[in-house]
Amino acid sequence: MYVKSNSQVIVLTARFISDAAGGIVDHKTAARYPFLREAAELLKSEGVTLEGLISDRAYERARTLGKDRVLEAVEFAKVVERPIATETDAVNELLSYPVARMLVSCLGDEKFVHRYAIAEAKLANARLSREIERAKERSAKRGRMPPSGNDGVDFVMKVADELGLEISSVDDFLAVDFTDFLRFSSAIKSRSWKLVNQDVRNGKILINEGRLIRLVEQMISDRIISELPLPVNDTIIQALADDVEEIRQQLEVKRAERPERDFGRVSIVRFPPCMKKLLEMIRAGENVPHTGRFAIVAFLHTLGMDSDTILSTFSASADFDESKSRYQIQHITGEISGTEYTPPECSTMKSYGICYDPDSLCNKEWMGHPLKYYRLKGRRPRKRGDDVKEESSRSSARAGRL
Amino acid sequence: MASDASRIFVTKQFALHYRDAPLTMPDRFGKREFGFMFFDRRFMMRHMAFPSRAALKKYLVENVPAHVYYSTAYYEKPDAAKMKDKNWLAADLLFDLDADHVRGAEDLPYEQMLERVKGEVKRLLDEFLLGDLGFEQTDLNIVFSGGRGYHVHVRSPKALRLSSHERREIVDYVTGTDLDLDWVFPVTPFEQRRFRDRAGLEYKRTMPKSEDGGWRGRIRSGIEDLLVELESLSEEDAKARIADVLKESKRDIGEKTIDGLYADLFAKRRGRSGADRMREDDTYEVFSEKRHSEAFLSLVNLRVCGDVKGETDEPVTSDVRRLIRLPSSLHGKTGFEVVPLTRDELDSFDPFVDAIPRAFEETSVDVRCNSSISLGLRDQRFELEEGVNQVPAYAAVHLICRNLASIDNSHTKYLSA
Repeated sequence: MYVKSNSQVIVLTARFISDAAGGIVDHKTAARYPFLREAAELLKSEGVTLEGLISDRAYERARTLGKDRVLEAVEFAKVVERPIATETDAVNELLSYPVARMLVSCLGDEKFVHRYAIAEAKLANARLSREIERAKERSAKRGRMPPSGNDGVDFVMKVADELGLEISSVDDFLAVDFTDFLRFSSAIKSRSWKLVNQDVRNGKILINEGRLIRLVEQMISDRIISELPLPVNDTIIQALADDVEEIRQQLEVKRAERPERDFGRVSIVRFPPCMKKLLEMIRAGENVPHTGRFAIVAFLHTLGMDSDTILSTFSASADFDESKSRYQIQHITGEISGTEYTPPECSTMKSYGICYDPDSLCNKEWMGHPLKYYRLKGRRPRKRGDDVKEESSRSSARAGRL
Repeated sequence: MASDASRIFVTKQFALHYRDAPLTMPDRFGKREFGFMFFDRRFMMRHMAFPSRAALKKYLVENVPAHVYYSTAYYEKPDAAKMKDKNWLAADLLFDLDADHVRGAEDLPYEQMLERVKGEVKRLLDEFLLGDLGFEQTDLNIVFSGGRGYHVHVRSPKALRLSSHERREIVDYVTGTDLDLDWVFPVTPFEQRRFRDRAGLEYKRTMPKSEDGGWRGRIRSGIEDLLVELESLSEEDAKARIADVLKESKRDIGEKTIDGLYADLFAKRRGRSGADRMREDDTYEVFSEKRHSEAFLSLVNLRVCGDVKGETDEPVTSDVRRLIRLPSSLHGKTGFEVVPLTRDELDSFDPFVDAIPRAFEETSVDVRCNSSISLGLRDQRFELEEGVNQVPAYAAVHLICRNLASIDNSHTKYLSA
């Protein structure tokens, strides 16, 4: 058995892919960035088949590592970085990636595909960041000033290019097209990533190395999400059944740990200032823009208030038109349209000019959604002794009931 | 519309336009949804598609709608009755500048309102779309809406597939929403005083440079304009101007602070004022006290940002399934043509001359005006009294559509002709 295993490894390591076509991939690089197409081609050219990978004793180690990748995504939302010291390490690490993808595909859980993709992308981020660090150290050792384009940055640019991001240089800075920037940063909610806070020059956005890597990270997770789940046949499902079951259980344990998503009783003291204001305006019969009415209805609906209660909340307003309001409310709550709307995020509220009187919690860098505000506002600092926490949350709910 | 006679009259004139005028068709029009409103019906007829220009023209001539819309989006099945069955493919990026959304325009008389909105359109085009965002002239379709403003359609391939969220980011960019002044004037901590082992940390702000892009560059040039403006005023007037702007500030900024701020900016030391050093040395550190510097920041925020903010109707831009007026169609509430324009044509465009359809007739018509009106249309000035007036047909259409007049029922010879 071991003979066979070794021979496989030898075959794999003996043949280095020729770099003639300007490719960026040797075994170690492929192992670090297995999502690159060139890494997949490398595997293909080595003659590794999926069937072999799931059953051959030679790939025992790769299978274990593959399962670890997935379990780490479950546990830490990040794939843990393993040192790749030898060629054997590299090969096993590289092979563990397709194994992990098969496991995720067998699991067939859409939400988990996202979590896994992000976990892989974070690992890639860590590795890419180190490429740049190392390149800087190398040039420092050589006693030279780091050149403007260090070879670490060049490497990151090649990866970005392979993923389909065009990078240009504007006034000696790295730059990307603003539409690409928007596309690959739309999941990043921080204010410092907003287009309005970028150095925009003639359609290009100036970025630094860190931002480039962050964009690449997003592209990687986008690519993985678009690729998974892969079609899996019965042979694969059977061969991986035990591992998949183990992962499924871990995932259930992890999900059970997460805080309750139910909002409990609607408590107005926990409302963010925007929603308080909108509610006040509606009750006072003031003219509330359509976007504002939409936001408050969707907000109340998401907190679990039914249409009739929402309607009666609004009926205080002077120009209240019951049938029109009922129609609008039922449209937003999905009773008519079939689409249940959730309230807009903070940035949208701001664009619409209905982000009123933001307070210190609103102004936190990470605050991005009125529901997040509501969720956090209700939470008491964690204390030992659950009964204390129970009591305080119950009394606050009572005090502010609508 | 006030009366049947008025409606019939306007419909006839509209029909002349749709018969004679060449239609501007949006690209990929076969994939677009069309919608119509009529003078005699309250609902909108929508979810329609037209395979050819001729088919659309035939429909317009036969049905003479009051308003014609098409979707900025294109769909696999544009005529499917349910949105989700249409299968969205992409959408033009659209900006709608309407008097309702331009500060200070809504209360102006109609002519001035349109002029004010036009100024904002030019800024949107020159500073933002052609400027910062680097679109080409050929990517842009500028259109007079026929009503209270202008539309700008961006048809660059890279804009077509932007999501709603991404479009909203562009709106926020244009309007300066959520601009972070700590990014514009980056803060760097430095150690100022030492007392025994304790160091007091102070913060320094860096002035944006004129070559910086985006809002940094924009604020830098705004500051330059502000300084020039204040320098041109007497000390007393300048302080009054500063106080006037700062009134809007949330913080209470007193007279003493304004005096100090003014001295820091304009009192000369060794021949140079703080304003000079700001401009020449790219520095923000010209203030003797922190409250002066903070007050200046408020001034910049209110005055510079407030002045150069782009204006656009936010929900329109981020809605990727919106219906918008078809260029070269007519607006039923003004009788104006929805006129497509190039950037150069925009400068000299006068809706009261250029948006009156050629097909509308010169024949005299008696109209009854609800009140006295003064307005210029084509190359003629009209001073109309309350009651019956004789005006050319093209003017009658405009007055009737705007509900300022109706066809005088005692003279129906035109209608029977």
